[in-house]
Amino acid sequence: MNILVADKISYAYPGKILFTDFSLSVSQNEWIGIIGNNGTGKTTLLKVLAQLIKAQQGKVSLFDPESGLTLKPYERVYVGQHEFSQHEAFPATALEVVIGAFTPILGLFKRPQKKHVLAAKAILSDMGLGDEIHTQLSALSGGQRQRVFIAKALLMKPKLLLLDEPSSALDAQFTLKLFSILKRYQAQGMAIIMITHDLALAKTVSDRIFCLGESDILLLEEPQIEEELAHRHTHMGGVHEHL
Amino acid sequence: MSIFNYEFMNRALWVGALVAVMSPLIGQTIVLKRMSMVGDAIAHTTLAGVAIGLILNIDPLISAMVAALIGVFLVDVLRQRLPYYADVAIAILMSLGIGLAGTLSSFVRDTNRFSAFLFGSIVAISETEVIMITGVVIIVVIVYFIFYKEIFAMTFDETMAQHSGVNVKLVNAIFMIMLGITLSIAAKTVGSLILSSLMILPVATAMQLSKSYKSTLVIAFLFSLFFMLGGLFISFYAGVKPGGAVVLLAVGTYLMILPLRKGRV
Repeated sequence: MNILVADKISYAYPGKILFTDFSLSVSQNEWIGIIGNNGTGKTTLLKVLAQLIKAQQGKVSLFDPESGLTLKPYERVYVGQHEFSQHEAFPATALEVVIGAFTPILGLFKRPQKKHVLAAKAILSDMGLGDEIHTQLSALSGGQRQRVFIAKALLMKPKLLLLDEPSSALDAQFTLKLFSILKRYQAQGMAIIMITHDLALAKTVSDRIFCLGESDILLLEEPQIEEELAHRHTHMGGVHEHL
Repeated sequence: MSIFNYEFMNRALWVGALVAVMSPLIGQTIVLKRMSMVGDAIAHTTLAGVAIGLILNIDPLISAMVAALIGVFLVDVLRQRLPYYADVAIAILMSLGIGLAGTLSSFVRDTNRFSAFLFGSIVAISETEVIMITGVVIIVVIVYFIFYKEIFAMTFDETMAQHSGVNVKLVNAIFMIMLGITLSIAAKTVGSLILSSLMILPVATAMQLSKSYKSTLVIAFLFSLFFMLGGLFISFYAGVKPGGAVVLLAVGTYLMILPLRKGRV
């Protein structure tokens, strides 16, 4: 059963076509990787797929794979690349931010209960932030803040999770841990669409990988991935050997 | 004579405490959303409302409240029209408020009553006004706590809140109405010229000492009460205007606490 159906979507900025007539169906439990150079429109594509911005042509539909109903906003969670300056000096602890996950789920007039607080603490521990739950967000490092926002996203138990460069501020060790956590959620029925610059990583977790080119989107086949990786390997001096 | 022997001072202390409780609720979001100037702009429209009230012989507190709500609405419309220049929208509204207040004040016969709103007239509050202010403050405080988690979400990150399905439009509308009401009541008590500082200073001071949203709010409450009641005491015994005393006490405290924590608001 599909959770996402994109039907011939197109998007262009003045003077630049990002993608035209792109169609995609994502099934429950599927993990999609998106790669591409800067400026090819990866983030725009992800936002269109998340229904945060409208495709200029075509249509994106999101369904609950079990009931067939349209997904509620908090059932598809988008974790963008955070502009960390935005929350500079904001007086809120990691725990306060993460508990915010329940705000749309509980709806108006209901307050988070003890079980919600416990769940928030548990997920922060899972993300290696057990000692930082009462730390002010802006006192955390960039990588730690990114983990806070991913923790918040996972706490919503989304059916579709869209991640824009989730590992960009994370060290290699925690990236592996994060991906094993994500795998666990995926096994429970969560679909993931993820932008990454790390093709090797994308290959290990993704069921399918799409590459954004100058004005089109290609599904990468196995040989292409291998070739690309071999090519990058010689250029990047074996960064991935550490992984 | 003790301050408590005077009925008007008892009344002033009660209303002062009410305003002090209400201001940080609104002030925290105003400070954190970097909307401090909005408070000032709407404060000036309340002054235009006061002038209209005095000309038309309506209770100036009510006309100030209506003017504040119109001001709040205009700020929102202008901000949507000029999304990247929100400060311009605010400056336009402020100019409108000052212009109207200045022009209309020429038609006010009792200029003392008008200038009372510049620096507040907390010691000249009628019994009906006390009842009205008490009622309004209770409502604002209850509404705030009903929408506490939504207001936090909106304050922390409006876009993120909207994306996850929080009804940001509704919460924003409710918040802006509460802002207008708070400002018009504060105009009556501490005066239009300094009421925005009453919303901002307790929060700015609390932020020096606190790292969570909730504790910032609690500490801001305490500072707000201290500034307001302390200012009223100073004003009574030193024979100066209450608004001025309140704000100078607040700024003085803020500056004393500032060296304790560096690199904050």
